Amino acid sequence: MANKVVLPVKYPAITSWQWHATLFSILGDDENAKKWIYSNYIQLRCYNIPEYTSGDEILLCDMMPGSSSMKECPYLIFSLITKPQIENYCGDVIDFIIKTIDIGGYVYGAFDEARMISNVGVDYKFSHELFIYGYNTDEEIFYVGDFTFKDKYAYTTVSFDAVKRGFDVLTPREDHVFKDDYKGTRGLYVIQKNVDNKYYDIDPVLIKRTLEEYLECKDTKDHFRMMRNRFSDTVFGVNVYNALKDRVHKQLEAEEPDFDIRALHIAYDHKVLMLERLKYLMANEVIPFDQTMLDEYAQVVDDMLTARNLLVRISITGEIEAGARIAGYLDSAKEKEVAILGKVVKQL
Amino acid sequence: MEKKEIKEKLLEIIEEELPTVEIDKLDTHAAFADEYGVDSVSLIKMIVDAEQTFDIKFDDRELALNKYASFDDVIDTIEEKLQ
Repeated sequence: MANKVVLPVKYPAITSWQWHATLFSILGDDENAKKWIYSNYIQLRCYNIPEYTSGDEILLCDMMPGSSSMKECPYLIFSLITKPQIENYCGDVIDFIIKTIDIGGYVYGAFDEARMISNVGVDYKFSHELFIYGYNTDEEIFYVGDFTFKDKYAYTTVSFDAVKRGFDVLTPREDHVFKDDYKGTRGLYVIQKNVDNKYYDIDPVLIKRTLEEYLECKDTKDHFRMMRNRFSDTVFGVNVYNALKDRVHKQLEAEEPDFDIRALHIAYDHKVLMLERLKYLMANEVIPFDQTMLDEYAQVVDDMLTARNLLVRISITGEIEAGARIAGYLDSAKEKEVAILGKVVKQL
Repeated sequence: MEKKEIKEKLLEIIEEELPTVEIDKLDTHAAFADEYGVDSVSLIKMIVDAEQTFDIKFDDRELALNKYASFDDVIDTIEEKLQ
């Protein structure tokens, strides 16, 4: 066994949720995977839901595919290994993770990160997905990608002991990755790259259809009823702008305002990825090259970034009245985006 | 205000907002996101402090991390606003 193995990762282009950050960390540079990525991640949707850690209502905003992206992606082999399997095969989770990395497998699953940060005086649990991509047995550390340890998405290290603590204390019902009774038992996912063959080409038909659904705010999830039961209050497409405005208004009008920027951040990441998609489609002659269009869409990205940053600023200064300007940036982004993507649909 | 004075005052802000940075070894020319871990939130905190310290105002679009590569760029922006 080598003392140190670190599998390749690249800091992800989008960091909104752990599942996207993980997929992009592994595949962000792969040319074949880009064909799948740019054919998907088009529809945006959101719904109100109690946060699993605090119970507070949040606006959960995400691109489609959402948390199932690594299962759906043809360039990843995403295998669930249950806790009994891990214990039977390896004895303990540390050995399992090391052996998995030794054969080129990344590890992904829920850990109690409160217990990972501190082993004493912690009277709550913070179940969160952890992405593990390397180890060093001399220093007894794992290399991980996560939001928790550096207050932003970052590659860092955590000790073997911390990982074991975080894994051992979670019970199946506390493990949100496996909530919704998706598989009924908890464990870890092993992720292996599957990039030797080209499984998926850029799909203009899907891109066009999904862009239309985005612009017309259609229920894209309706295509997948055979796989999952449905939330009834989901907002799709450009209507997400209105949901974001409502959410920000509600956040800032509350007696104790909350400054959760996640919904605005995912919407910003959606624009970042859409701009990259437009560049990709032009570079591959799927649509004609149009620098003006790229420059105009860059303004949409800038509007969304400004809206997000303004909420960060308000969280620091407490200048609640500045929240009205967030709505202005969202309106501006929506107007420009609808015009640009309308042109793209006609070109596809 | 002289650029040197702006830099000194900004260093005090950096020391407060980025406590892990060793101020006496700080290179204001360096790419601050890579070298010192400056991110969107820490930059905005610095900007808010700078607004109070220098009695200036940053526009909403000037809050973006991608507008600045280094602390020198922030110093230049403050200098422009003071003129």
